[in-house]
Amino acid sequence: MSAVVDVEHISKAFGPVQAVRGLSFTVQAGEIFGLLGPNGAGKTTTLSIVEGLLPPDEGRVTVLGMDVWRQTRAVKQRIGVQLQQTSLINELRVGEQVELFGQLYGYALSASDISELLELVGLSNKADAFPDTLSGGQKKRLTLALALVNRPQVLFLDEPTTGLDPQARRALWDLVRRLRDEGVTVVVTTHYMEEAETLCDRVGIIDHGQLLALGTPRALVQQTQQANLEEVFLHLTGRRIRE
Amino acid sequence: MSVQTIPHTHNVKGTGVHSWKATFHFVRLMGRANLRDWRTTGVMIFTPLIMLFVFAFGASDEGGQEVLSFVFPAIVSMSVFFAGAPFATRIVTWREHKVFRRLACTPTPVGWLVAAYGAVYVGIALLQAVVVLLIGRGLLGVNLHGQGALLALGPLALTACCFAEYGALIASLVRKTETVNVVYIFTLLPMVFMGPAFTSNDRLPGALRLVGEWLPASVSIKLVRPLLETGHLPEQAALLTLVLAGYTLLFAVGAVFLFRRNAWL
Repeated sequence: MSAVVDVEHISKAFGPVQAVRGLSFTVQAGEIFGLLGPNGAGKTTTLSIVEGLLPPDEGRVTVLGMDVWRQTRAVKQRIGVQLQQTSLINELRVGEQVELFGQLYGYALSASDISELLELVGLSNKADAFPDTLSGGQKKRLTLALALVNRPQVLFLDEPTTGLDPQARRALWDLVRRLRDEGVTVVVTTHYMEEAETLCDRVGIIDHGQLLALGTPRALVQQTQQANLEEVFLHLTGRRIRE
Repeated sequence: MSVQTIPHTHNVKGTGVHSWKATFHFVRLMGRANLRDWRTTGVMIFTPLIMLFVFAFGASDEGGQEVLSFVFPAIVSMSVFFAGAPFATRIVTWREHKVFRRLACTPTPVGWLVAAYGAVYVGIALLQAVVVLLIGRGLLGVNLHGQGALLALGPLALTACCFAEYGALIASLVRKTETVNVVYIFTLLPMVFMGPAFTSNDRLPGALRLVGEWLPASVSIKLVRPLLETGHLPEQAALLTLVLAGYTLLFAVGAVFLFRRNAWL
């Protein structure tokens, strides 16, 4: 397997706060990679840098062999992004949102393309609805549809199952696995250790902007001699509640 | 359905062409969405229309029609001055909801989309100006020069651009949706009333009067008034146009600078 995402010694500070400190990791082609960490660990900042939304103070990131800051548009054309917040345009209907995002990637989606994509995320009967009439889970699923409009080679999901009910969560896991089986590389952040353990091929645990552990969930459990991934996580990041 | 086999009927290649096409579709969809939001559009047009009718009712008094004719160009201009208010509100709301961040995940430059969205509001503002012109002429009998009214759409379009950029500048400074509209209106009104839009500003102190004469609202009205009344451009048309274009550029550059400095995504 080759590295699809290569993060080399990235650092990022916001004023006095050092959000990411010399972080390095790679994500291999066709794997589901989980980025785990407590609140404020630097997961979202790291993802933002990798997605080309935030410039790092130091370090370099390549995605699909392209430098994220030198070939930003080419990278963005090939990746799919689901942000932590739903970030929907409330003035546009669900179907219009999908149509617009298709256009923003250079794709003119037909009505049947849009309905197929909405069906994929279980929103086929919501094409004419406005986002503010959707439940939290439905909004999340719509953002997933938007992340898929450009047939991404790499998919970044920032806490994709937060706010989803168990059925929708399982459906999303199935969808992510199907994408992986079709060759899409998936990078996901999550707070749910059960999710990381079941879904991810490899995980990286970060805290205070630094990588604490990297490997398959099973290997990490074995190495640290803990009962499960949640115990590994608590063992590495501590039990203190974060803001 | 396999995600890898989502059928795409048309894939536009070439980054430049793609961005223009994407921006065009963005304008089309957002324009449609704005027209669908008839309440906001209605509120935008409500203020100038109310002013128009207040002066029209007063026109039955002696000299009233003269006053109405005098203030009418200012009321028409007022309808485009409001272009920036909903634009500013939308920018702040989208920033709060991280919509710009989401748009930035796509290869289409966000700056293009914001500029294009401003153009949507310019278009709506011009539509409102046309409505005020038609009601003034058709319903209230205001004496207008027909060809001049058509020519006035040019300066009115520039004015709408100027105030849309002013809205963007306000949005770059104000963080909350609840306050942005208030700040816009509270800065717009003194700008209008310091100039000779509705009444003479002769009683203002010299320096203040001079400033008032060259504020964007006054400059716009100076351009529009002679066109509506006589069909002719004012003597200083080139200078006034340049000043208005200068304000537009200044507001745009200021907004871009402040948005970048404040990491608006």
